[in-house]
Amino acid sequence: MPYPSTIDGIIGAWVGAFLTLAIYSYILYKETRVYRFAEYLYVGSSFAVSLAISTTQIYKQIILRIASGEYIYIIGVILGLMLLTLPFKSVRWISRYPVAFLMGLGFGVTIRGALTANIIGQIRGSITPPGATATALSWFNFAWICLGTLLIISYFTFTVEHTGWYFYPTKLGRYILLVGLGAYYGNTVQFRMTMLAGRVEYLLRVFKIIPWP
Amino acid sequence: MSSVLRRPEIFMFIAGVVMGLTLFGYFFNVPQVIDLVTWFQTFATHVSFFAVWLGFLTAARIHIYNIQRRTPGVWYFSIVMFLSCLIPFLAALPEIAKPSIETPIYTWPFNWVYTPLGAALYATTGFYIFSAAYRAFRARSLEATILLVAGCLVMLGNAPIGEVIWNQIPTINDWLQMTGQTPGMRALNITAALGIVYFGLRVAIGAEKRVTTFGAGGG
Amino acid sequence: MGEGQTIWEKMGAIDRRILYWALFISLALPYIKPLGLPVSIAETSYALYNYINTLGPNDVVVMSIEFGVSAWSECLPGFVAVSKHLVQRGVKIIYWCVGYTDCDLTMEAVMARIPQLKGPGQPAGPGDYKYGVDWVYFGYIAGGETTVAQLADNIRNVLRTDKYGTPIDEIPLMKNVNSARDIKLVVDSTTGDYGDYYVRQWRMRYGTAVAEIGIAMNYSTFIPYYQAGLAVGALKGIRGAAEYEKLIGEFGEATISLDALNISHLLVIIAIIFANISYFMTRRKGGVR
Repeated sequence: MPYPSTIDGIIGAWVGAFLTLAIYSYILYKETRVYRFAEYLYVGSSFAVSLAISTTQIYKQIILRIASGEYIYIIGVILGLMLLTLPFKSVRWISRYPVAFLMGLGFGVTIRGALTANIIGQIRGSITPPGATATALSWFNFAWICLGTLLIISYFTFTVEHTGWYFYPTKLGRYILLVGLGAYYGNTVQFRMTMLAGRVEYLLRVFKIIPWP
Repeated sequence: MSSVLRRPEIFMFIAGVVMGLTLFGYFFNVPQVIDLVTWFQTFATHVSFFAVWLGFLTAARIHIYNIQRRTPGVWYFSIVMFLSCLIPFLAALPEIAKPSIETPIYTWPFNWVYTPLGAALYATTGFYIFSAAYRAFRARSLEATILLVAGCLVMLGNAPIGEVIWNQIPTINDWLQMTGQTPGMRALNITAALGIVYFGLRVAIGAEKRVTTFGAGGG
Repeated sequence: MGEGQTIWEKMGAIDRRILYWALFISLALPYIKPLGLPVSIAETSYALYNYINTLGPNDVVVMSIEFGVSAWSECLPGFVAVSKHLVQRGVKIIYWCVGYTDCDLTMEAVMARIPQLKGPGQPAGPGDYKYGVDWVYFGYIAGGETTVAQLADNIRNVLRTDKYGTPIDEIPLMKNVNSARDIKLVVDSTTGDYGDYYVRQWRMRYGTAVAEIGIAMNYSTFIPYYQAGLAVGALKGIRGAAEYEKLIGEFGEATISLDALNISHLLVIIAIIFANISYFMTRRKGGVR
């Protein structure tokens, strides 16, 4: 794809670069009106996109179905409209019906998956020993994961005071947890730096220092 | 009449029954219940379309207030917010029946305002991570040292330059990623899931009144 | 800064804006002068590659776009690399998105990077992917985990038409695809929890294989699923994408972007080392407790 050739494309690329720098002006300088302008512009344009998409979905997924005689879909509209009473104090209680419905369904859907994938699956994964051809390292890794998980859970158990004999397993659990959090931090740095590099790359492209992709 | 309809027990009942049926339909093969839960899911998806409008209404109230009161330093930005939202949205409205919205009044701000701003805002944390590394990431204790060493090794492992510095870095990184961090992440996974299950069941039986009654009473 | 400050104290109190500018400039350098360092391949990238190699033209894979345009730098190259591999294998592909409203732009970007993916009405030659027959795009579907669960149970309950308005029953690819049972693999590219959703609602209930091309942080949270045998692979953000580009033999954006990672990571590590030297030297002199 070459550098934008149409006038609206060229203006757009430069507007994008200006707005990127406007956001970074807050970090590299201080909060300015330019930053505020960019911030509010983002909120407004996000709403524009979200509203357009949700209205399209309401039209295509609900209105068209009702228009074709599938009247059961009106329930979704009723629940949706009930939800919209939330900002208005005198009728706010109406919104509690769809919220209660969503909460019940949300918990139901999450719990059924969490029980199998996050609890049973994870416990099974932790206690399954390596196969017959396992090396000493495999057994060490198994012990690290199995005991480590147990020790960290003991650290997260707050109904028992972490003193006496219980002090040492929780302390060890804390150290093992910190290895995990250190790795997580390392991965976080990768993600954030990639994002920032992406913006730097965009600016270099707009300023024609490197070619447009 | 409305005082009866806003009784907390009704909301507790709805949440509990819907949750119970959803779980029942998962663990027991009763076609009627499975069908009913499928309909529940369809309606929930439809309600989520309206949730975007709820977000807009809530934000709009605040910004209308700002404009009406001429809140110093803010009200003109609230106008910017409304204009940048309503102009593209209203332009897109006649095209919602089409496969995609193609009017430039919508697509131009989408491509050149929303997209770069979103990416720029998302990336700002990179700066903070860097300054936090410099200012706060100190080996003050054994715990901090473990965190610091593990973090640095993973960083070196994630960038190819780590391999150039020392050829054992990928092996150490692989161990940290595949084994070293697993107990921590797995324990968080299990404990969070236990928390969800426990909290959900409390909601289902009406023990978590603050949630099912939404603060209870009026409003 | 006070008069009597030592060099170590001054170093510990550098203005953050100097750090930011140093980072900003150093991120730009690799794009101007690439380093091109070698990349070793992680086990999870190999695992996904090997799994896809077992698939063929009769299999259907879902590629779920759960990242916004704002996360293109981290997620798009991996998403494109895996899509290219699926095209190489002739696997049928369904694209959809449950999380982000701006996924149409992402789909356009994927099509621009994989010329074999021909859009509706475009002529498809040998080796090309004909729309509706070899691949299909459903666009954005609202709803989160509930919708993911519903798609697993019955796709037709959620989707009536594709993105371009063609009824689902008129799309040849979708003829025998009704639920998660008919899908061999779902590859979820996410900045959030969608990988968890697919494991919980697709893998656990229907046994569908799940893989994630997440942001690097998600790699940490997704590994327990992989280790428990609930996922068939994972790519770690841009790094995983560069590894996958190497595996399929098509070097692209990820390989170039990885250079920026070299400089930025090195800079962060140097910053940590300097800060700690400064901290210990200052503490030795009794400056910091």
